[in-house]
Amino acid sequence: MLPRMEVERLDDRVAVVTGAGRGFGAAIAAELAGLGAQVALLDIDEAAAVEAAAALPAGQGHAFACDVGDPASVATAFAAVRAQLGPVDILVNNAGIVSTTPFLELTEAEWDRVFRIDYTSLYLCCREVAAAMVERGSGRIVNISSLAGKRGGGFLGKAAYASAKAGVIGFTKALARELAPAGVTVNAVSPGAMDTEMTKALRDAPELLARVVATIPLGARGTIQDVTDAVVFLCTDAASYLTGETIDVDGGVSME
Amino acid sequence: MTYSDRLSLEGRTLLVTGAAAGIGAASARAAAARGARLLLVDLDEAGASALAAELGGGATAHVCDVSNLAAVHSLAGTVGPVDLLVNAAGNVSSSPFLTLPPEEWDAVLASHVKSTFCTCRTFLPGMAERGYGRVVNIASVAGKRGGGILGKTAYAGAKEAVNGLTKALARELAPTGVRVNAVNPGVTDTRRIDSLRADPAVWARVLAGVPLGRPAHPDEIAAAVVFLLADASRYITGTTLNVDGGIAME
Repeated sequence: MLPRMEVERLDDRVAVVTGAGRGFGAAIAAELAGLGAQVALLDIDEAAAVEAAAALPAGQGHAFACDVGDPASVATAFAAVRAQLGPVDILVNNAGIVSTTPFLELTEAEWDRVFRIDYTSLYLCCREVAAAMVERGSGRIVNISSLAGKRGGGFLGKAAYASAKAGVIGFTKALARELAPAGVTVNAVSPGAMDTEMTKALRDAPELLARVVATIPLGARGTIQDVTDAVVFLCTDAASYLTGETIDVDGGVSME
Repeated sequence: MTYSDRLSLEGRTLLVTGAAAGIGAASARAAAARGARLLLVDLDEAGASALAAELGGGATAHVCDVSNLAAVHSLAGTVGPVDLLVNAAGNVSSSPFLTLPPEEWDAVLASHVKSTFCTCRTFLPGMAERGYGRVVNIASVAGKRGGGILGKTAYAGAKEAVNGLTKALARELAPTGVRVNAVNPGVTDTRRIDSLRADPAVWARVLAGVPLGRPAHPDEIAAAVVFLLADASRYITGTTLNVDGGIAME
């Protein structure tokens, strides 16, 4: 009988998940904690972060208020994480907002806001952890992109969202290239059409929903767990040789 | 149900081609550690039998030329239903195009692409009928980048054909509950790279092209294979995952 390779254990590792108060972020935080990690749950909604942290195994969830689009807030939150939990081993950049405004109606303010929260937040959060990861010669960064970024929207987000999420993939590769010599990996997950709070509008539009599902080879929308499993895979030692890669969790829509 | 539970392959039968050594053997070991029962297929009978003995748990070794459809059909009659399939068989080719013998072109195409056709053509109908199946094809970053490290035209062309076949099969079989994905390794620490390692100048140049600065251990490729075989990847099909230390960055 072979020993079971428990490569997915994350005991004693410190993970930061942004946008962890609900949805994908809360689910990712729960899975990482389930594998033994100490998890810092960051959210602009501190009460939601506290609630999500409380749902984790005792002592493993830690809530922090953080507006990932605000440099001062990010600096404060990560300083608190380091003080309380020590150096960060895993960063999951999950926080984000969707934008479905058609381009011809898109204001500069919305464009800026989407890019600040969906894109510049990665720069701000990675800046907080990258140097220490390089110094220690290990670290995992996982960014959440979107099929919308690869295909110019289509299901959900339009110009602002699609371009910010495409930017996430470019940033992922560039940071991966830059941090690889130190053994730090940077990857992304690209969810397709998902059945989540963010997309609940589709539930009340059966015709549109049928049209969406017809374009998905696996014939159904994905779930939060489908995405979290790919994120968790990238956080574990099992993914030690992947970097600069984007995993499509989209039921076969992109097939690039 | 935890993430670890969703990596389990308990109760599944996995057929691996090219199972006697390298990435095939590493994938077999990793899958066996997750509970799969292994059917180890290789032309190297001694290697496959030794691995079967090492794995235990009902693992069996089978000699088969997987680029011959009749031979694979006959194998299927012996082994029964297969839930999971890893196509790792194949030979490298480093001949420059201008002097590439047609026999080498044909042999490489047969060992990588025809073999994948033969195993899929044989085992996918049963998977589709039962509504469950997982296929992972071992392609190569050489396919995506046109060689450059080890393989040249014959190898790169064949490996990219494996990626194309992966996507087409994924699309066609998706409605049946069969998922098909590929893993694209870069420089992996197997016998195949001995020739590169032998020359320090060549080896330094190879590693300079790998952002992570080292070859993969075969277990690192196998870990990705297991992820794609397991339920943890249940919404992923038609991907050609790069496990290449950052070489491709497509």
